Order: sequence, then structure tokens, then C-alpha cells
Amino acid sequence: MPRFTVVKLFSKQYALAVAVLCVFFSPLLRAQDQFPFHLESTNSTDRIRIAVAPFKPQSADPATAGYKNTFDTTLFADLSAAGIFDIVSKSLLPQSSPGNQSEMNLAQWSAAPASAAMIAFGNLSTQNGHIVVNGFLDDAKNTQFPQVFVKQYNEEASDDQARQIAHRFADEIIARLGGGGVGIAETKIYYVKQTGENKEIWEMDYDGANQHALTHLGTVSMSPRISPDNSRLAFSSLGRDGFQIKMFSLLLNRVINFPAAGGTNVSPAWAPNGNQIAFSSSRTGDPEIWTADANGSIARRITSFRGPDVSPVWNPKTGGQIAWISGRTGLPQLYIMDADGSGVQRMTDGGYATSPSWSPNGQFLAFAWDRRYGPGAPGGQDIYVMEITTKKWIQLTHDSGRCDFPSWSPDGRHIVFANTPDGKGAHTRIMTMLVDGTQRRALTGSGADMPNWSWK
Amino acid sequence: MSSYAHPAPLQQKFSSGFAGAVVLHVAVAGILIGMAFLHPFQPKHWGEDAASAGAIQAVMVNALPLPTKAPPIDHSVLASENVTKAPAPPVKEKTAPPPTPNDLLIKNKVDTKPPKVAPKENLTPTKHPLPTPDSPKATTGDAATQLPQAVTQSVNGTATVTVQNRSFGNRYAYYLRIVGSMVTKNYNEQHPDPRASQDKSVSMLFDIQRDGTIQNLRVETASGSPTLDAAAKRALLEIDSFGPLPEGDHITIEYKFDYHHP
Amino acid sequence: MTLQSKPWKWALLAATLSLAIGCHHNNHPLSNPATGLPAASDQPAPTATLTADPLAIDIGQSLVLNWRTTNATSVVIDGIGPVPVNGTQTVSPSNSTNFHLVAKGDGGSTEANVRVTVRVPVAPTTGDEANNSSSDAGNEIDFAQHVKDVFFDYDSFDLRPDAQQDALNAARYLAAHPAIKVLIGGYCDDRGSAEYNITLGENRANAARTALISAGVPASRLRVVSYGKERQFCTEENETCWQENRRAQFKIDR
Repeated sequence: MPRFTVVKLFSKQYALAVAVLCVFFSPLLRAQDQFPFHLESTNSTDRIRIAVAPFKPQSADPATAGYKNTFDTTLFADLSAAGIFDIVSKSLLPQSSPGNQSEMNLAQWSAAPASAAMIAFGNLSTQNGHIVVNGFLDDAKNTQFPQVFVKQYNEEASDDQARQIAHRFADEIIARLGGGGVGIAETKIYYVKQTGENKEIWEMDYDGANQHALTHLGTVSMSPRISPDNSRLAFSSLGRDGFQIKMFSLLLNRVINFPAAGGTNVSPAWAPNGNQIAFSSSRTGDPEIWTADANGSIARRITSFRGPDVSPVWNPKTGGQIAWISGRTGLPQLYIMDADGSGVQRMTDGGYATSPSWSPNGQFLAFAWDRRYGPGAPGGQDIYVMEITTKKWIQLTHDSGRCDFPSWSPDGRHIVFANTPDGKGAHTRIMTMLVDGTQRRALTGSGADMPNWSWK
Repeated sequence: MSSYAHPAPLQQKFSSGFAGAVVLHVAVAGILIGMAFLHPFQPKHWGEDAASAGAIQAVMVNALPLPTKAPPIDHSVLASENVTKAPAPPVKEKTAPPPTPNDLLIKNKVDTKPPKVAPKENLTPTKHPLPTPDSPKATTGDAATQLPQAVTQSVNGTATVTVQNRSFGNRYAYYLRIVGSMVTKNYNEQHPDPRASQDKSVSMLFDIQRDGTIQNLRVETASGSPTLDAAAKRALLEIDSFGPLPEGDHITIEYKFDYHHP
Repeated sequence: MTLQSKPWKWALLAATLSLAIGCHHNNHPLSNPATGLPAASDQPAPTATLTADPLAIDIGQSLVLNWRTTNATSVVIDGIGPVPVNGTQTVSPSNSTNFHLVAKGDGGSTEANVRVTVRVPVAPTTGDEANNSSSDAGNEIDFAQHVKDVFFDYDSFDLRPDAQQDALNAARYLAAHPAIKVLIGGYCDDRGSAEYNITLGENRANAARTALISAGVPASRLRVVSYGKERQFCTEENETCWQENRRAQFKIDR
């Protein structure tokens, strides 16, 4: 009898101990919360089914054929990259190539197998050294009033212009059908290119085309940041007195005056109104975040804490907050504060976090993080997106080497970032992806780093 | 033999047993106190440190076609508006008391009232308004009598978007389709109370400005289910812009939502 | 018999247990004998550190005061006034000063001090210059032998004990060759982010500079440039190479 009682008591205590242990360890399970948040991505059922017809050439010469080919390829790629269309695959298209509205047979395109809801088509010709394109967008389901818009483009004949016309036409289609979203086909990416021992600032189209140099300073330049009106590019450059903030004018195509200061000055960032920049400066001895006018005057320090403070970025929607990286507690962590330095809030709770980028709608921060805890850790350094109000995050890259310097596209649907698959700095290249981590591809070869997507 | 029959030894047993019990209790108490000193209990801080905020992993599930948000906590169990009347209990029939042995049998007027029967209640269930099936006359525009509409199916039922400007709707049917699909996508993520909203419909009215933003959002016909009305409103309020109007300063849209969840 | 005695026994046990836990809580260190003040409540006492960089300046130059406190609600520095609980301040005292900081909190109060020396310049003697100019040609090899680079731990800009010793040796050499100016370069290993590493390199170079100044080298002879993870010394992906790169480098500044 007593033995029975003892066993019963013991198992009761055991159960209690197990219960207590479970309660104690539940904070660790916190990391497994599965609540999603609403990013700008559309699943296939919400996408508009659009057919992109090969444009009809109006002249037979080989040059026109070449431009037409470039135009068709670029248009198809732009509409695919937008992330809001379900593009009819080329094999399902009807065999016709309508050049204008009268040649368009809607029934052919709206019927299976194409089953298109919208059709983009038109004609292309070369006249007097100019490329002339007439682009149409039709609503395949509206037999009475099919035409949504028609636009004509007339530019100097060159392969690059054929590409730019395609970009503009694609952006126009996205503007009409994208539910308020902006098209990114005409946006640019500014980045750092390794040229031997030095690093210069280069520019390319959002799809990796047209890569060319902007600066020729013969030293190490980095952290390019384009102004909201696309007129000036701020960056930092290594000189005799260490790194300084420099300004490049895209209108004058040269470096323009920007006051130098003591210490190391790096990582400039533009406020959305284009009148202020924030940057990291160690002119008072410790690297802190400063703000100044766009021409470098009226500099004001807004952080004051021992430990490196660097990589500020403004809230592009409101301009009232700044996110940045601080090593005040040891390894660098992500913080946000009001633009005057008050209301400091820590966002990451461990690991090694760097290079924040604020989403255009003001709700998310993309950054590079070596998380070192929770599922999938220790992994490498990957790109993460965090919702600012809830601090919930998702991991976008996995097991693909070291990733850094994410930058949002202006439509909030894409992120461009730097990736080195084997960890070596010299093998870094720039990649682009949708914000859900899909459709990832490289835009450059090796030797490209620190991309910055233009605002428009 | 039980010990109850022997009171004298009980006394002895009592004292020795008692002493043993005291020793045992003191020993246990001593162990516990010793443990408290040697292994101090220092509770870890629960919840979030003010300095290091907790970052929580989330999983992106927007790719799935199913609604993903956690349902709202407001489970209001609404009773039906029309309460069916419970049938009245049958009236007790008045019977004459049985004659006592001493009673003289007097011939009295006998009440031969017919037994009262409870009035027959009409016990058919209350009719809920059935959804009017909308003909999917979306975009052809040949039906001159009907205003242009876009009908979309969703997890939660059917959504019909009607523009009150006939020529606009005919000319720019694609824009109506965009409005419909954007609103339905938001509507899919709402969770009105299924029991209260089943087969009910709410219609909302709003204007779309030139830049595609919504103005003057109001309820045209309430559904009778507050959660459904709120879900419809939320689906619309979450939209930033439909994209610029292809023509005109503003258009008025009627958005009718039928809730049907199988 | 046990049934009868149970209730008061349990009460005794419960009372003993609660006493034990309560006593143990009281033994938790709350009163801080260091300040000599009684523990006002269950709050920890404040701590404070105050540093100056550089510790010695020439007249007319400025220096940065850097203070850090914990558990303090109000911090005051003599001569400056109330300041934030953590922060820096650039000051230009005209004579040697002792900066005194008082930090008050719920758990008591504490103090921190730092003494700053302001040097009044001494007119240079021509004889010395002539002697020095011949040896100040900056013998690179000699310099490198005596002025060794200092190395750092991962993500750290604190000088390790071996680095402190190297700094003292370097200061001695520089004192013997007063015309040599030094460029201090801050470097990081190639892991981690380029922008953050520039600031970390800056902090490393500044830490080396502070160490030299504390050892008596005038600040005017020292210049700091951070390279971050640019201009690496080696490129292998292993700890040996990474340690090679985590350094503050001393070079003759021409």
C-alpha cells in the first residue's frame, strides 16, 4: 500500500516537473511563430493573363529585324519580371503578327490555347535613322471597345534605344493594368565595380543591360546612393585622409563639390525629399550618424554612443525615420529612430546584422543577417525582410553563399543584392529576385557589389 | 485482527509513530531549506527585454491561394433575427372533481366545453433572403438594360462590381475587371462569421477618383450580419489605389458581395 | 494518528518553506558596500566610466570625453552640467583639468574621474633639430622593427595585453625619433559588411592612437585612416589570414 502511494506521488511530481520545464522552454519556441505578413506578391490566380505578340516589322532590312528582335525580347522580359502578369507562353500564341488594330482578330487571342485577357502588339520600322514603334494594348474580352491605349515612340536608331522603347512601353502597360503600381523597366541600378586594385561606381539598367562606368577616380569608391530625382549620386571614396563623402552629378557627368570633414565619412543616404542626406562620420572620434543638407552644410549629429554607427537609410514614405546599424552592444544590430535621433528602437536581437534598405511603402526593412540562432542557423549571411511594426521576419536566401547589400525596387516587388557563392570578395556578383525570394538570377558577372536601385 | 481492539498499545504506537512523523517532516523541511540555500531559484526574465527586442520568424504564405490570416477573435454568435415562437403549452382541461362518498349526486349543469387546444402555430422556418443569382454579363456590353458588371468568384462567395456609368463600363471593361480582382483578393483574406453571414449579401457604394483612390465609401444595403459588412468594408479600405482612371474625373462603383461558404 | 496531526504539520512545513525562500531573497546582493550607501531599494547601484581621447593635448586642441553609465537616472559632469546617461562631448580646456562625473540612480550614486593634461609648447632648440634631421629620414626597416602593428580579436577594437605592450615599445621608439610622424591604418578581415568594417577599422586605429598618446606620443604626430576590408594583407579564408587582417598598421606618414 505505501509503495503504491509513493509511486503515485512521484509520477505526479514528475508530470509537474515536465510541465514546468515545458513552460520554461516555450520562449525558445517563439522563433517558430508562423504568422505571415502581406508582401507585394501575387499568386498565379490573381495575375492578369497577357499575350505579347511579336511586333510586325514595317521594313524588310536586316537592321530593322535586329531592332525588332531586341525590342520583342526586352518587352517580353520586362512584362515577365513585373510579377503581376501571367504571360502566355510563346508556343501558345496564334501564328498571326498583327501590326495595328484593324489586323487584330480578338477571337483568335481570347480563345484557347492562348486564352489571353489582354494583348500587347504593334509594329516597328526604321525611317531616316530613327526607330518608330506603334504599340497597342487591347482588352481581348471587350469586342466592342477593345483598345486600352496606343502609343507611338520615335527615337534615334540604335540597339540601346530599341531596348529603351520596349522599357517605356512595358512601363506604360504596367501603369494601366498594375493597380496603382509603378513600372520598373526604366529604373537603373548603381553599383561598385572592381577594376583591378581599385573600385569605381558603375551604372546599369534594372535588367543588367548597358553596364558602364560613371567615376574614374583611381581609388576605392563605394556605397553609391542615387538621389530621389536621379540627378546626383552620393558615394564615399578613399582619399589621403581616409574615406570621404563625394557627390557625382549625372547631369554634368562629373564629381561636384562636397565639403570634406575630419575622420572617416561613409555610407550616405538620401531623404525622400531630396534635400537632406544622412551618413556615418567619425569626426568627433567615434563613428556616429549625422544628417546634413544635400550640399553638405548644416551637419548635425543624431547618435551619441560608443561603438560604430553606420549605414543609415531613411523611411522613403515619410522621411521621418532612419534605420541604421550600430555596434553599441557588440556585434552589429539593426535599429530605427526618428530623424532627429529620438525614439531609438532595436530591431534585431542577436547575430550579425548589416546593410538595411527600407521598402517604398515604408512597412518593411530588408537587411543582411547572419542570424546564428533558431531554425537554419548557423547558416551564412542571408537577406531577410522584417515587418517593422511587428518585428516578424522572413528569410529570403538560403545556402547560396554570403549575401549582402539588399536594395528595394520602387515597385516594392523586387530586391537586388550582392552575393558571393564561395565567400571570396572577388567573386561577388549582383543578383535580383522577387520579394518572396523566387525568380532569382544574376545581373552581372564577378566583381560587382553594393547595388542601389533608383527611386523611379 | 485490527488494532482498534487494543487501546493500550495504541497509546504507545501513537507516541512512537508521532515522533517518527515529526522527524520525517523536519527532515523533509530541512532538505527543502537546504536546497533553497544551495541552489537558489533565479527566474529568467520572461517576455521581451526592453533593450533587446524579440524578432520573430514568420513564413511567407502569400503564394498559397488560401486565406492565410488568423481569424479575428470576435466570434459573435448571432441569433436569428426572427425568433420562432415556441408553441404554447396545452391548457389543462378542467375536470369535475370525483364525487366523494358522502356527496349527494345532484344533477348539475355539466360543463361540456370542448377541450381547449393550443392554437396551431405556423412552424415553418423563417425564410432567409436567397441570393439573387447575377448573370455573368461581364463585359460584352450588348445588354443595354444591364449596367456593366464584373463578377468574380472567391473562396467566400461571389463579388459583383457594377459601375454606374454605362459608357465608362462598356469602354473600359478591363478596368472594372482590375477593380473586381483587387477587391476579391482582399476579400479572400477576410473572415466574417460563417453562420451569421451564410447566404447574406451586402452592397457598398464608393467613388474612384482620377488617381484611382477610393472616396465616399458607404454601405448601400446592409446584409444584417455585422461581420460581413465589416469584412466588405475592410476589403475596400485596404486598397491604396486601383491605378489611374483611364478617363474622367471619378466614377461611382457599386460593389455587391454575396457570402456563401460551403 | 497521522490524520489528526496532518493539518498543523503541513502548516509548519509551509511556514518554514516560505521563511527559507524569503530569507534567501534577502541574501541577494542589493546593498553595494562599494558606495558605502545603504541599498535604497531592490535596485542595483549605478556604475560609471569616464574616458578622454586623447588624454594629453597641446593648448588650443580639443579632445573628446566619453562616458558610459548603467542604472543611472541623472548624470552630471563638473564644468559641463547635466548630460545624457551615455555620450560624448568635445571640449577644449586651456589648462590641465580633472573631469569629474557623478551618476545618480535609484540604487545610489557613483563617480568617475579622468585627468586631462594640456601641454604648453616649448620653443624648439635648433641644436636638437640638426641632430634629429639626420636620423629622421625615416629608416623604414628600423621603424618596422620597433613599431609593430597591433592585432585585434574578431569584431573587437579593444587592445589585447600583447598589443598594449607593443604600443609602449612603439611610443618609446617614437619618443627617440621625435620628427617621425605616423599614419595609423585600421583594417578588418574580409568577413562581415564593407560599410560596417570601415567603422570598425576606424575604431581599431583610434584605439591604437589612444594607446600611443597615453604612452606619451603627441597627438599631432599621429594620423588615422580606416581601410575597412579594403587593401587586405592576404586573401585566404582561414583564421590565420583573418587575424593577419585584423590590425592597426603603423606607417611613416610623409
